[in-house]
Amino acid sequence: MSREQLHEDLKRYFGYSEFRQGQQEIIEDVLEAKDVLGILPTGSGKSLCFQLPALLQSGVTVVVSPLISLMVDQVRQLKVKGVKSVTALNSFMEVKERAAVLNSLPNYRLIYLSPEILQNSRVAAKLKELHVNLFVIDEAHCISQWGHEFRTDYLKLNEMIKELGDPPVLALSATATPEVQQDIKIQLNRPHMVPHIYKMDKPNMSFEVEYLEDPGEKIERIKTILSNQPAPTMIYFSSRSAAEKVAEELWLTMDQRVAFYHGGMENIDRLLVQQQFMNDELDVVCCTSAFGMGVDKPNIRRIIHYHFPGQIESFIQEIGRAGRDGKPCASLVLHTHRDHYLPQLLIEKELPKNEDAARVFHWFDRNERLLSDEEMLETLQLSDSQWNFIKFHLGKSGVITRNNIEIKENWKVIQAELLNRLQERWNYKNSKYKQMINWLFYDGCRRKMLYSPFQSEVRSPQAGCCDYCGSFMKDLHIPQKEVSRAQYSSWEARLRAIFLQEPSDG
Amino acid sequence: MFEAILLKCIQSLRGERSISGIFHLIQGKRSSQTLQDAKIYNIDLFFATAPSIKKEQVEEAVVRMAAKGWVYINEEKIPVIREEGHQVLNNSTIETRHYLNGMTLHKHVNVFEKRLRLLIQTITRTNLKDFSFIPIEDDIETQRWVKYIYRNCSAEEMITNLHNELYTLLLAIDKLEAELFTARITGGRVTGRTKAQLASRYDLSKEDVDLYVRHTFYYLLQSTLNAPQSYKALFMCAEGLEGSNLITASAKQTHHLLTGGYTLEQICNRRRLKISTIQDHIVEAALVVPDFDISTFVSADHQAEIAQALNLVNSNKLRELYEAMEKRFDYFQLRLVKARLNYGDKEVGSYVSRTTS
Ligand SMILES: Nc1ncnc2c1ncn2[C@@H]1O[C@H](COP(=O)(O)OP(=O)(O)OP(=O)(O)O)[C@@H](O)[C@H]1O
Ligand SMILES: [Mg+2]
Ligand SMILES: [Zn+2]
Repeated sequence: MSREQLHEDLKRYFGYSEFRQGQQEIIEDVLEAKDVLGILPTGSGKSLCFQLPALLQSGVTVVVSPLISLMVDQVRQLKVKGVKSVTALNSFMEVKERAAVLNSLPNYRLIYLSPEILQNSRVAAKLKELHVNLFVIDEAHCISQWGHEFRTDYLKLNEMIKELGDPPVLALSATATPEVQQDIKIQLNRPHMVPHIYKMDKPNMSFEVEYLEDPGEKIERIKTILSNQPAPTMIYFSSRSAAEKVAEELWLTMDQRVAFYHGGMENIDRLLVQQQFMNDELDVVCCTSAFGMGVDKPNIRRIIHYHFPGQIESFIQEIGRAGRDGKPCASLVLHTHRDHYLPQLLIEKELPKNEDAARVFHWFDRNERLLSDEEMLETLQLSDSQWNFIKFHLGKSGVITRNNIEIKENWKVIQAELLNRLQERWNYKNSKYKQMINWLFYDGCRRKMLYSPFQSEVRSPQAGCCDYCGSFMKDLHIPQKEVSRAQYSSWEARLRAIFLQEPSDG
Repeated sequence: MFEAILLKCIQSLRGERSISGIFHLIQGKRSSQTLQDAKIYNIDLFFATAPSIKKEQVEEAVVRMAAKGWVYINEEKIPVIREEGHQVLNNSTIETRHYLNGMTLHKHVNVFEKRLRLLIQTITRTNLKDFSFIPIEDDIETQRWVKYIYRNCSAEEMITNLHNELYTLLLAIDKLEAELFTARITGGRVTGRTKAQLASRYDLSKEDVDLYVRHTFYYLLQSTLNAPQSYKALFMCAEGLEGSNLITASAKQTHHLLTGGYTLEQICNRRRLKISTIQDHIVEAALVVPDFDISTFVSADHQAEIAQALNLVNSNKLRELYEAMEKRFDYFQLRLVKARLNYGDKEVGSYVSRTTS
């Protein structure tokens, strides 16, 4: 296919006049049925790299995506663009709805799936009847144990790919170190994937970190920054209650529109906050990491970390929400000595401890079959991720197949092995955590340091660089009038606005 | 409003039911125990009026009210109302005037609310040429319904009509409720506020925000059903919910037998139900069935007489009416006339505290 033709198709299907960096190169290789590994910065337009080929090729494109809201959003947006032959299958769908989609699967060109639903035998059987000619793994770092978000179900993808007749594979990520990139190829069994690795730094973003003696100072710092000028801002927290508390405080004391967002809210309210933010009806969202992936708002200008995450990769994902329009934006991390224990506590919750493992083996001694996952959690007093870890490793070493406990001898060896894995994981998580801490305390250019695990150089910044180099969030240039601040004087006025009864303002 | 409803329940339950009982009632648990309690203690209006409530929220509210001296917790851990509580309750809209009617209407209000929310969003967003909005309701049934309406009606006309109808109806209620309601709706370039946002903004509890908004939906639905001609666009959202559909299945059966010529006693025998239950059914029917004739129970003359007295008494308390009419009519007859009067009355859509005593 000629370059002109490709441009025309881009215009026709998506209305864009230019490809962004990397898109055309990746799409060309995909269309030639090569296996491709694409590493591009957050917000750079990775989705297009499989959406366009899906429309240009015959057969079906299957996309595995870790987050349901992400899939649903992309399907919706494609439908708006007039692409009707697209659907998403996930385990939260109503039975009737899912059956309907399953039965009409051959009608679709692009099918989004959660990794969990691929494990469903009915779904797998239906997929095998189709001619899949592109298999996409979005957020592909989830495949690697060394990726920041390891999902055991991602590991089963390579079997599925085989069963689907070994179609070409496209793996995409914005946060994969060279070792993770290597691991993706190994896990997928595709050592010869064509790498399209681009610099993942964001030239339009500046970085600032501030250590505070007293946790109470954080809110004061935030108020000072916000009072400069309203602009779309996200503030990240590691706990729901902190997000709520600070949102309330900011709302009460500042003339700005503030809301909180976290996983514990009712669905409709989550949707409303997201929509208000997208519509520029909110200035500030205080959120947990539940608000993040999938938020594709062009004009977020500030990302403030009230709590910092446990690793650099998560941090990069989170700041990746800002400046997706390419205009200047800034990141600020506020931390006190107290925060330095928080991520460690979270790691503890995530990984089983030695005594947890001992409890599991003790239970295995007296049982033949596993119970359902929920019952196992209940009986063994484990968290979701703790049980997943154990199950995954015991599955790998053949102790359990499906739900049967196969091996009962050699306990000692197996146990020792599991403990080794556990230790490895601990060390890994801790080293990631140290990397994050080191960055916070780094005395040098933060931009260079932040991206150093991923690439040897960074591009030169377009706006400010970092606090070390003399740029601060307060100096961020925010174009005026970017945010319309409609206020309604009465319910009558609001009602008129809802029903478009106002004389239009142009 | 939340606390007033709890007070009302605590008062009506007379220390005979635990906090769990109250929780199940307002949350709308469909167990025979809960349904019976609602009827027997005459608090069925509040059934399922707080469907998303958690038990802890009820418990915390009771503790709060105990601290304020409105109730106390007896040895059996059951809340009992105090004099202060009575006073608070008497001054609240729950005793004076409200439109909640959970047992009969909660499902319909639920459907009505979802349809209205999504319809408003759909017709106004598409009018702005935005076809990519995130639907505010993800319920498939509701989406199908809205799609159908959208295809078959003129959006322009609907926008104007809905605006005017809502405006008229909201003008007639408390300003706070009108504000909360409009703030919660999504449409045009305006996105609805969350419960938490409104609670902060108006210094209310989240439970109250929820209840006020739901109460307004009750009000809108009943006003619409009472005067379909005046509220054509809103009435569309109540499509399929009107008439005898509104009453419970059991009441429907009673109504059916009644129109078949059976007497009250015959129906009681046939259905093996208490006479009071059958009477409830008949009152329900009187309230919602358009051409329901009550003259077999109260003659036309007597209806006129009672209606007149009702105006004079100027109270919603049946007992006062009962006394004022020198006990010549029984409560059932009074309720029937009231229900009938309320039918077709634009403003009073519901029968309120029908046997407060
Ligand atoms: N060629 C293009 N021209 C203009 N806009 C584009 C182009 N390609 C993509 N976009 C827009 O860029 C935005 C980000 O795209 P997308 O969500 O695919 O990013 P991403 O790389 O997947 O980010 P993340 O890592 O956060 O998932 C979208 O709003 C998309 O419509
Ligand atoms: Mg993406
Ligand atoms: Zn720098």
